[in-house]
Parts: sequence; structure tokens; C-alpha cells
Amino acid sequence: MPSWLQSRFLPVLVGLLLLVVAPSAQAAGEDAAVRDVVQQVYADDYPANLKGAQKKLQDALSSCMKKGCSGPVKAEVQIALGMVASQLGNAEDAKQYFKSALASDPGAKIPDGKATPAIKTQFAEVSGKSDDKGGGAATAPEEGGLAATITHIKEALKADQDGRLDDCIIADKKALALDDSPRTRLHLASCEARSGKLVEGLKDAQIALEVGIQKSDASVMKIARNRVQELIKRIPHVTFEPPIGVKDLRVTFDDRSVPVEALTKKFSVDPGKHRVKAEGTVNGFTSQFEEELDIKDREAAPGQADPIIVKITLKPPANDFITPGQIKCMLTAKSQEEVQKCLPQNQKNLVVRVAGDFSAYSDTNAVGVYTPAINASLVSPTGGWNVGGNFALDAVSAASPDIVSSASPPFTEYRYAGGVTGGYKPGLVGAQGSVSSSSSPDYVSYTAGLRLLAELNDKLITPTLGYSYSYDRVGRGPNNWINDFIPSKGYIHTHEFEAGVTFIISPTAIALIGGTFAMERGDGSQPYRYIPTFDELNVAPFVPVGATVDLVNRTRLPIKPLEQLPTERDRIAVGARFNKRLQNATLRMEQRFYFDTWGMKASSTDTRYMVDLSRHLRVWPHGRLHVQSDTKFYSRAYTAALGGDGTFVVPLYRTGDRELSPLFTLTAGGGARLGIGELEGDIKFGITFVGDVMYTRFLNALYVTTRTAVYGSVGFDVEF
Amino acid sequence: MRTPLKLVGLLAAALFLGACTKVAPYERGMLAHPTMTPEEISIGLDGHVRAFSEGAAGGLGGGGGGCGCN
Repeated sequence: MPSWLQSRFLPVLVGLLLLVVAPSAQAAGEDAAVRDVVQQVYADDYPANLKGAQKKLQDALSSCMKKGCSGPVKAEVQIALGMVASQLGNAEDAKQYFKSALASDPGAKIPDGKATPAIKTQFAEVSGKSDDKGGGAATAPEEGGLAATITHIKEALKADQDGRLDDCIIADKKALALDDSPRTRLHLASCEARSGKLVEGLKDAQIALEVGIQKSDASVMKIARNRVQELIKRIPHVTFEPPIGVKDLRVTFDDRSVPVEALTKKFSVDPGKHRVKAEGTVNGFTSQFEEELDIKDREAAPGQADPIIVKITLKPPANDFITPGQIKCMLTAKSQEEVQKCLPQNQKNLVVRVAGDFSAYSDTNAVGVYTPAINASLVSPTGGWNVGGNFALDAVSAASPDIVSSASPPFTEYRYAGGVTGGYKPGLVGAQGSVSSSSSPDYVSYTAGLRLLAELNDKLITPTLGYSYSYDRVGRGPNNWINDFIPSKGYIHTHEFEAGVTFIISPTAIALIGGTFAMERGDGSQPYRYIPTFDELNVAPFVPVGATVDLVNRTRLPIKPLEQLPTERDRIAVGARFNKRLQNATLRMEQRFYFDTWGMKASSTDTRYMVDLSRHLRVWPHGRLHVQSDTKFYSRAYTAALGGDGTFVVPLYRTGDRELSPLFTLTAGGGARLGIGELEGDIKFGITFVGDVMYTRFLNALYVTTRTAVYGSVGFDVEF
Repeated sequence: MRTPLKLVGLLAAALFLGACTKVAPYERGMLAHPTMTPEEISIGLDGHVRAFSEGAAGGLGGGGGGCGCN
């Protein structure tokens, strides 16, 4: 006798054969009822209510399985289920149903008038495979019918004997697809349990028990009940203890998401290694949790807790904002509350910042400026408002060639500049206003502006719109105060519109794109700037670039008109700024393009590379290149000619401002900021040093061809 | 004059398309670094020197009056 007959699975096989072959006395009566259900589904539910149709057909098929139906009736139900599955987009399920239908009744067909092209294709694929194989005693497992079922059962038994439990599971599932027998399901449950899939095994054992109860099959009931009880005792359970107050908590168990509302429920899991991951925001910091669990079979590890409680404690990773002390504190924390106490509380109600700096400038044109300045701000992060103020004093001494060439004495004067700002941003929209003023003996300027901003698309995009108005008054200096200015000239009204958008491009990069459009109206000609003129034919063409004061005075015409600029100027500038955070450094790059109605075009490129050498010290190099063309009315050597009436005719527009001439400027320098004291303390101090060297080459100017300037600042700031 | 505008337009389009990548709030920790602010961060005379030594003005953030410094 073959060994497999002697195995303990012989009763199962015999039972399976008897169950499959024995005709059911109830099949005939059940046929009519099931057929009615199928017709009713076609009439009422298909295809409008596919879910409802699927439920009714599945119940009808279960009824067929339990009470017994003839093959053709079973095939009708399976055809209908296949059509529903196809309409729901489940092509593979549809084909499986069609295959089962053909196994139940090789003559099964799709009802006329109810098939979509997809249904016809899927049925044809399945029926085509059946046709290819022809009839006869085929032993291929893919063919339907009794023979195939028995073949799969034999395969499962063989695999089980050989210890190939995964193959046993696959073969048993194929057999169940053809004929849902409780004995096959019990064997499947056995293979699953022995391969460690206790949860699946329990599910199949419970289904087998239900079927056994319905069919009043005592043998099945007994085996299934024992199997269920055995597996219940072995299956371990897991539950989670989530942290309190983390609103964006996300938890995965073996890479499958666990709904937050289900975290405290008890889950059945298979024994083995499992991985729990969690992430959420704690005190504004992204924090994570990860733990590997090695869960044992409860019978093999009676000391193991059940359920196993996974306490999720989120901890932020180390980064610039977390000190080693905070990391150590968090690693030893035993609860989420202890972790939160380790982190800085970065949501103050009020932040005050006061800063002062002293700056100095000196260049080869004998201009020197010394500027002490102070600024202060009050910010409420929770309230969304801010106010601030600033004040600076420029002490300027100038003895530039422009001054000397016009025989004006060198002067020293003071410029006072100050401003206040205020803003409010309660939610995603905010406004920032400012007023400022600058006053020196021969120039006063007043400016007021308003900027609006909005945070869109989850703050990924922040557009801004702004407008400002400036009123400048130009007097005659250096020793005359503005009381002495000429009412008909010497004023400039400026309306400036700005727009910009900030984009968050990636977790480490942002970009700002923007532009300004300014309309200047008024006469900004400097009342003390005289323009030398030259003979048009004999002198002007020969005046060299950088002609000295002496040469100019010797060769110019006697007439020396005052500077006269056009009274309208529209200025357009567009720019982009890109900030990229690298490991411990930030690269900041900026590009601006400019043009105006005076004909000037310019390009400015600026870059800084700011490196955090430590949490206290940051250093950066700085570079800038500015290139510009001249205005259309600029000339190195203006000409004048005698008119018919004996007076000199001079150009309508004329200027001695070298900043309206073609030039390029290279700036190189750097800076450093030192944080003093405890960076996470209540009061934070810092000192900043910056210095730059600026080299300018004037390509078409009198007196000066180059200018080299050195300037720098030392600043001190405190925040509390 | 058209070429610079085209360049800025291309740059804007490239950056805007890049901004289509979703960055979750919990991934924005690096963006809070003080050096990552989109605002101008120069201190001292830097801005003032540029204003009087360059003929161009404006661009990213305007709204400043003159000073007659040149």
C-alpha cells in the first residue's frame, strides 16, 4: 500500500472524494431558487448596482456550495459573478469566475445582450484555453472539474508530506477555487499554521467550522473546532500606546499604515520579526520612532505579554537646532512627556530683538562715511504682529574730484535716517507697512509703503504685492539747508510697485522671484553739479577718459551749465534669489536685471556661501558683480556751440553723475557671526563682522577711471 | 532687453515647476535656518553702498527713498 495511503491524511482524502462525488438530494430544489436570484440580479442590479449584485450572487453561490446545486446552475452564478467583477475592473477575478463556470459546466455561456467587449475578451481567453487543451483525461491542473480538484488536492498532500508548506498552501488554494470544500480548507489551515501564518490559518479554520456547522458535518466540526482553539491560544497580539498631543502622527506596521483611530485596538499578528515606524511633529520638530519586534508564538513563549504594548516615543533626529545635551536628554527619556521637556520651547509669546552696528566706508575718491545705527523689533509669533524701528547717522566727509573740479570746498555733513515698520499676519494673509525718512542739509526724503502677502498651497507658495511712495526734496548745499531750495525744481515723486513669489522647491531649497516698477517724476538734478562743456569739433573728441581736473579746466568752454536730468524716469528691475541648504552651509545666489527709460541697462549678480563652522560660529565669503551701460543722454565731454544770438547752446540733458555712465563693479569680502552664550537660553547674544572691498571701473568718465572702496561693519544683537 | 527677460522667465518656469514637488510641513525644518530666509540679509552699509554706487535700483524688494548720496 502506498505510503501516502498510510498517512494520517487518508481520511481527509476519502472525505474529499465522497463530498465531491456524492450527488446532493437537495440540488434540484436549490437550482430553482438560485436561478431566480440570478435572473433578479440581471433585472434589478446589473449593471447599475454592481456591489449589490455581487453580494447577492456571492450569497447564492455560498448557498449552492452548502446545499448543493447542479453544475449548470452553479455556472450561471459564476458567469454572473465574473461579469460583475469585470465591470468593477477586476479582470483576473472575472477570468477566475469564468474558469470556474466552465469547470462547473463546459457549455456555459455569457448571456446575450449583457456582455461588454472586455467581458467577451476575458471569457474568450478562458474558454480559448479550455478549447486548446481539448477533452480527454487531461491531468493539467488548470483544467476545471473533478479531476483538476483531485489533482490539486494530491499536490497539496504531497507537498505537505515533503515539508513544502508554501507549495501545500498554493495547491490547496487552487483546489478551493474549484470547489470550496471544508476539508480542503482545514488542510489549508493546517499548512498555514505550520508555516507560521497563524492568523491566516485561524481564518481558514473558522470558515471550515462555519461550513461544518451549516452542513452538520460532525467530523469537520470536531477537527475545525480543535484547530480554532489551538490557534487562538498560540496567536500573539499587539497594541500601541500613541504619544499625546501629536496631531500629525503616522504609524506603520511592517510598512502598512495603521489608522490613528485604531492604534489602541488589539491586533492579531503572526510570530516573527516585525517593524514599527512612527513619525510626527513634536514642539515644531519632526520626530521619529522605529522599533523592531521579535514576537513569539504564545505557546512557545508563555512569559511574553499579551497583548504586546508598543509605546511610541517620538524623538527628533540630530540637526543644527538640537544640542548634544538635548539629544542625550531625549535618548534617556522614558516617555513622550520627558522627550518634550528636553526640546526648546520655540513658541514664545513675544520676541524682542535689539541690534546696533557701527559701519565705516572709505574710498579712493577721498569720501569717508562713518555710520552708527540702531534698530529694534518686537514680534509676537503667536499673535502674528510685529513692530520695529531703526535709526542711522551718516557722518560724511567728501573731497571728491567732483567737489574740487567745481572749486567747491571739501565738506563734512551729517545725514539722519530713520524708519518704523509694523505688520500683522493672523493666518495665511498678512500686511507689512513702513514709513521712513532721510534728512541731510541738501536732501530730504520721505517714504511710505505697504506690502501684502499670502501663503498658498500649504505655504509652498508665498506671493507678495507692495506699493510705496517717496517724496524727495533736493536743495542746494552743502551749507544751505532745505529752506533754500527752488520750488519749481528739486523734487522727485516716486511711485514704486513690487511683486514677488517665494517658492519652497524642496526640503532644502527655496527661491524668490520678483520685480519692481518705479515711476519717478520730478527734477532730481543736483543743484551744485556744474557740467564742463567743450568745443564740439576741436576739443570734445579728444578729451580722454579720466581727464584730470587741470586738463578739463584748461580745455573747456567758459560756459558751465548746471546738471539737468530728464524729469521722468521709469525703472524696471526683475530678479531671482535662490537659497540652498547643504549639509552645514547655505548657498545664497541672487541675480537682477535692470533697465529704464533713460536707456540704462544693468545686471547684478550676488552670492554668499554661509558655513556653520560650529553652532556658535558662522562665516561666509561674499561676491558681487555689477555691470551697467550708460544713459542715452550721458556723455564724457558735452559740447556747446554759439547760437545765432551769441549765446551758447548746450545739450538739453546733461549730467556729471558717474553712476549714470558705463561701469562695472567687483565686490569681494565676507563676514562672520559669533553667537555668544547659551544658544537655547532665554537671552541670545551675537556679534557680526562684515567687510568688503569694492573695485569700480568707470569706462567713460572724466577725472576718475577707477574707484576702490573699503567698507565694513561691526554689529551686536540681542534677542529675548 | 528681451534676452534677460527670457532668461528670468525660464528661470521662473523651472523654479515654479520644481515647486510642484510637495514638501510636507515636517520636512521643512532646514528651511527655518536663519540663513535660509528669502529676505535680504546684508547688514551695515552694504545696501546703502549699492544704492549710491550703482545706477540700477529695485528688483527683489523695493520701497526705499533716496539720499542724494552721490
